[in-house]
Amino acid sequence: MSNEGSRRQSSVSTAPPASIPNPPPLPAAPKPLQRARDAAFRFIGYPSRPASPQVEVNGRRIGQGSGGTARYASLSATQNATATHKTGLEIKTIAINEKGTHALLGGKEIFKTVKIEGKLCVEEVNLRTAIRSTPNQASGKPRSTYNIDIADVAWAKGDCGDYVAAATSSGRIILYDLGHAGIPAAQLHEHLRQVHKVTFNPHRGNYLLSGSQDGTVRLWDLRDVRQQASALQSKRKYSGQNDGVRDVKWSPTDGVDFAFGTDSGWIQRWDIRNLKAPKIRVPAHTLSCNIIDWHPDGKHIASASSDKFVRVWDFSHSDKQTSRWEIKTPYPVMNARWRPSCESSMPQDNGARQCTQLVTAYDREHPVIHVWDLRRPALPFREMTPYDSAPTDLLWHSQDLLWTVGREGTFLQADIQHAPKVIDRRSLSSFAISPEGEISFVAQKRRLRRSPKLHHPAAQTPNTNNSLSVSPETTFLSRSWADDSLDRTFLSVTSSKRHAMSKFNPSSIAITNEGVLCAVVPLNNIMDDKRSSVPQQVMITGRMPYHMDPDVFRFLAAKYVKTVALTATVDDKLLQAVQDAFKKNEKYANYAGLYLLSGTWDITRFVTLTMLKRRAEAQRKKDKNSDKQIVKRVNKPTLAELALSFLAEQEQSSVLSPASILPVSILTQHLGVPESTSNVPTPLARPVNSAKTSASQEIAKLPDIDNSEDLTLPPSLSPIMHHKLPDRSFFDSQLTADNLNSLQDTDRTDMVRRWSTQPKTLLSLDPVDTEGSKIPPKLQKHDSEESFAFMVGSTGSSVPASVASAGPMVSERPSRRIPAIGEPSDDAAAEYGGIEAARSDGDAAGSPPLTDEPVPVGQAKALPAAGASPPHEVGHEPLYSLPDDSQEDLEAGKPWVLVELLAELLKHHLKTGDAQTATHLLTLVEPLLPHTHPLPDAEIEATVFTYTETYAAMGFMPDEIASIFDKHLQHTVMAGLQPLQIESILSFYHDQLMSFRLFDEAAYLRKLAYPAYTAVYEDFTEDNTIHLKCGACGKPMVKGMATLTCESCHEKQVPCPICWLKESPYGGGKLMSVCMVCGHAGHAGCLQHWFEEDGEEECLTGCGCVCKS
Amino acid sequence: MRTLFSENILSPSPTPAPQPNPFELLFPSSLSNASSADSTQSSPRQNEWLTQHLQNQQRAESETSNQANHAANGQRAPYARRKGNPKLLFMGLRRSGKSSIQKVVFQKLSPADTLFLEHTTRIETATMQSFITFESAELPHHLSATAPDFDHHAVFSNTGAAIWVLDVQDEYLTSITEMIHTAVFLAENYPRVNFEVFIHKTDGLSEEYKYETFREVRQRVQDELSDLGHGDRSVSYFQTSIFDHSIFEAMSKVVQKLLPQLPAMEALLNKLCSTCRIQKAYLFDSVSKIYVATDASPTFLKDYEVCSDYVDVIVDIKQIYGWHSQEGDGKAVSESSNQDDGDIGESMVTYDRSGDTYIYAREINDYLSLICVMGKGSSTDKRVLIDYNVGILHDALLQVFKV
Repeated sequence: MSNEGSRRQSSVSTAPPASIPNPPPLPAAPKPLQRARDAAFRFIGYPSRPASPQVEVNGRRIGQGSGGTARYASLSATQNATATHKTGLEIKTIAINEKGTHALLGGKEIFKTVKIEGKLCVEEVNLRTAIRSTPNQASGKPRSTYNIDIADVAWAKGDCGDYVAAATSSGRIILYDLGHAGIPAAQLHEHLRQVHKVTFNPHRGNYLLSGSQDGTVRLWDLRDVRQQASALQSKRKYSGQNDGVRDVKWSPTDGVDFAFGTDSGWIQRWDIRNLKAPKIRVPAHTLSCNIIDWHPDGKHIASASSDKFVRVWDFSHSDKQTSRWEIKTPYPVMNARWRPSCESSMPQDNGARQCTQLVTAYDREHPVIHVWDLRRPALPFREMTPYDSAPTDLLWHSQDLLWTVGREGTFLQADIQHAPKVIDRRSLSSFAISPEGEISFVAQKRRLRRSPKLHHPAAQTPNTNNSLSVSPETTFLSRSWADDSLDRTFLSVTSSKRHAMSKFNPSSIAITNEGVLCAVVPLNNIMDDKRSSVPQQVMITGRMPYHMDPDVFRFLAAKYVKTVALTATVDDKLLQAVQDAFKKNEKYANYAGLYLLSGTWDITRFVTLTMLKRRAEAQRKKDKNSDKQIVKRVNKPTLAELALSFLAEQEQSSVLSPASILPVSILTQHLGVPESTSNVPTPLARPVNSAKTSASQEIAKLPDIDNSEDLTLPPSLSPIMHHKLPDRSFFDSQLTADNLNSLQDTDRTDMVRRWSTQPKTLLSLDPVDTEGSKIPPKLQKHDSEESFAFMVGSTGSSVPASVASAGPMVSERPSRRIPAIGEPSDDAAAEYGGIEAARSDGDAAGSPPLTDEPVPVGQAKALPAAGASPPHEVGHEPLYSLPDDSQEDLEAGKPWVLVELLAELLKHHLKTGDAQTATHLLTLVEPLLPHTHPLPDAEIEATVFTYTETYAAMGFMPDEIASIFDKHLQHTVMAGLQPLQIESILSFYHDQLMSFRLFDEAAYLRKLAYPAYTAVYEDFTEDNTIHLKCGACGKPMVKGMATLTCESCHEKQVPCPICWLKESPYGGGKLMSVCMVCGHAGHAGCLQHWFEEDGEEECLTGCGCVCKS
Repeated sequence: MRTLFSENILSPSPTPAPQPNPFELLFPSSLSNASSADSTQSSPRQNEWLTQHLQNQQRAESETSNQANHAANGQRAPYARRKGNPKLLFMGLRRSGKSSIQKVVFQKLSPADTLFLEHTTRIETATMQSFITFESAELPHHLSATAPDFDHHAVFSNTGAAIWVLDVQDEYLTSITEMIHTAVFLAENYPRVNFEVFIHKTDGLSEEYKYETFREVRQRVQDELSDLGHGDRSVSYFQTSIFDHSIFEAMSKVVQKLLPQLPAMEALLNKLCSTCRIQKAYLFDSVSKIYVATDASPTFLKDYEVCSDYVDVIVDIKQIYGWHSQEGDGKAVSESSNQDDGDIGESMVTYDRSGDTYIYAREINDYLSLICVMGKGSSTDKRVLIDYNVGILHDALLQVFKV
């Protein structure tokens, strides 16, 4: 394969035959039509022996006017010059003759020339047949080889234009004279191992270079063939390699220079006159450099390698090298070729030629061919896939025609203008969001794509036009010489440059420059002129709407009061603390300029305090008549018992539970469970399970774990338990069909949304609403407002508050109306009066409001609140939540029920992604909630099951699980909040904190979430280690006390700043103590002496820390 | 071309190459014998001749090793002509990984266990008996090779390749300086010793960093050597890590340069590949997982990894069922075709659902196997052709290594 890049720049020429220099050019008549027509006749003839590349380049222009027009029809934009020639035998390599009319195909079983005329490919000389039919060698000896396994072929140039060279894997190079096809003209056998490449000098066509696996490059002169055909000796040998030479190429401009690339990734430039050492030697690649190709300017060279890089080097000087440009390719590159140069679109270049594109082919498994443009190296410009496997060899015939051969045995002349552009298949816009809420958006205008209809000359839409070359003749005749990558989509010329476009009519430039000697613009000139051609893109960067200002977020995260210290009873101290907390939050929100938010805090504070006061009142009353305490307790299992039963059940039938295997999928699986509870037999939904009904019916008290001797599992639930597992596995299979997505998608943050849009969740409510038969007995037995509320629910227009409040997460269920905050305030004046009244009284039994609906509720509420004597339970529960002293719904009838308010607030803030407010609302309010609005039973069960599984997967013991439920989730569930939602809110906020790098706040949040909400902290329970910090460099000292030498800075550390000894002289041995504020440590004994006996208060290191305080 | 096994292995009539490996008995002494003699049972006369030869060889070897020992003790030994085995000498700064490489490659130490290796304080040698008997030695850093009082002769005179191990995760500039000293010293005094550089411990480095350091080391060493007038001296560089296959591949390339038979083997493999449409063919030394030859097509580490793992599988199975059972040792498809020259160990495994591409393994002898990655178009119905051609290759290889 020879390096013919420079020759093929001149793709249209009808120069006189070989060895005669080109005649001085006639100034071509600038007839646009003819020029354009001639533009299509590229592959006619070449000046076969140019005196210099420059003249040769010139020749293209020169020849345009004069010849070849009779032989070819015009090649218009829509014409596809693709042509194929099938041989059926694996072709390994291809070479082109100097004129560009013939291709030489070589392979193991093929060796022939093919003439290509337009779309016609005709086999001309079958060398292989000739060889086989000729029994004798040129010297008269019998032919020794029957098969030649050709690795590479090259076609000589100039005087020796009839000769072809074939490199074989045995290390032999065989020369054939096409005039005497059968007889090898000479055998060049000096290479010991396979010859990879042979190439003829583009200027002196008789010089042949061969690069071999044995690490040498040899120079041969074909003129010697006539004298010494039998024993042709190589002229020169260039070695110094100990690894194979993969590719060798002559310089296109400098006739004595060549370059090669080696197996270990070096590329070298040599002068043929210097046998000793290369001019330049560059370690270009880490893996084998498979191909090199000179840029037509003669200064730069591209090297392509198995390490998936194409690098372009400046070989004009021998300084220490780094690659000038590089293209990261998707696969190992096996072949790469610069595309012949095209007319520069820059006005200042005066129509000189430029070359920025190259084609790459990859290893066997990746059949795609890419055309890259160095000006936009990130993505290929065009791509095509001509064969099933990668092409074995390729070369450019002319600017648009690419010749490839493949293992399938097909020679293909591909019209690259018809290869699809990669960018047309890409999205032209993209955006990204930073964790701080900044958004970047890039967009580009796509040119209206009118793909030319092939074989329909009528559709004369030009495929490639740029803003510069749009002129009548180019629209008609497509193939301008201009740069086809310059369209608006891929690259475009920014016209507002120092060269005003108005002064230069591009088409006139092209015309006036006919015949002017035009050289190839050096690649660096093109590339350094960054502004000349850029992709025209628009980028927008800015802050996202509805996103928290990062500064505000940080401020609030640091300042917000997260929890209040709970007391056993609702007393003034607690009230004061709660009030302070809310007021502070309100103040900070106000500082941050979030007035709406501060209003929210204000209202929440008011409602919470009202509720708390009411509870305090009720508590006081209850204390008074505590002797009337009802002894009988509810037969309702606590969550802990439920969880334990789940665990026990699981132990029995662990096989049946798919959830126990994969803890991640548990949540989503069981999120889906309520959906399928409509298939559960009705006993599950018996109203006797409802906490409200049963509680107020039997006794107004929830069972306590401490008094669990009274507790028995309700008979209604136990059969459900036993049915549960088979049922669930059945549901699971259903679920996969129903919502596979929700099963697979385990994103916690997503859970919030899915949870709230759960189409139907609660079965227990359905019978209550629909099955009227269940309700009447309740009505008779109840004197509390719940029963009344049920009645209202069954009769009234809207869902009663108590029912809806049973599940804040289910509030968006289509079947039910949403109990919104605003709902009671439909008749705002009246209710507001009600609130005022309630507040003035300080009593739950407020004066009845005036409107029709709330009136009976209020009355109904007032009565039991006064009459019932809720049992008082204090001090047994740990203070994760406010001890709920009342089974009475002290809020019933009030326009704002706290838990509903909370649910609505959560919904609102989550809609805007404001997990911060939601989290703080939750952490503040949730412990204070009354146990009056428990979740529906089915949901409780599902939740408990989920959490049981999760905790078990986390490695908690059963009794630990029970205590978690008891202390944390029991309250949450009874208060009517869905723990899964809380968990997802908290973990979302935690993620936000981590992305803002607010580690302290995140740690605090984890502390709050432990142990109930595993999603928040589970990634942070491991791999926490404490190291000593090096005093000099501040890095951790992993080895600890053993050496006391910092690994990073090798600084020796002092054990104790007081005694400087290993053991304290004041006793206490080696025991160390650390000030948690400043982090300075010392022996405990020494420190004690320092602080106690010397009476010092500040840190002894002088850091200013008052450690003693 | 330096020869190790014999002076003129490439000449038409190769002289018998010394083969110290007792399993080399399996090679028939000539091609005519090969057809008649089962590879496990060679003719008694042949055995006799080989035994004799073997004894000579072993004597020579012990002599060499004695000399080496003497050399370590500081005695000057007379010039010893380099004997048949490729001898590798590991050099480099301390803690650069010389012992680890030696242990992992030649003694099959688990790479993770190399953490616990002690410092090497004296010249330690290791040999591995396989198809080719590798001898490796390690020169601890404190024994400066360029020091005048050092017994260079004993160390370098029979060394085939000196391998400089450079820890790329450490400060490598000092190592480069020392390396250049050593390289210049070797170039001036022992020009026949190949100088190779292992840029070691590349695992865990980012691609960009790897490329940059690799390029920098190569450029720097080359520049320095050119400045010192040894620019024509070729130094090979390899990025290695004991935690993947790169160390084995680098060792393979080092060893290959020491094998005079390499061009012949390579030409044979090239022919085979083009005839049977094989993507890549390796001649593996089964025990060490070093390949002694491959065809000339571009090599990919991936191919080597697959083949190497396959060799591992085969060796493991052979460990179970015995080395000398010449029945098929295949995993997926195992056939033992009965040709006239006895049983052939061969196996195939496919890793492709279509079965178009598969790996074909064939034993040349107990310690040398041919592993081919087959490409499309060489499906199993072409097995006859493949078997025939591999048989030819088998015979040709035996001729190359003819005893």
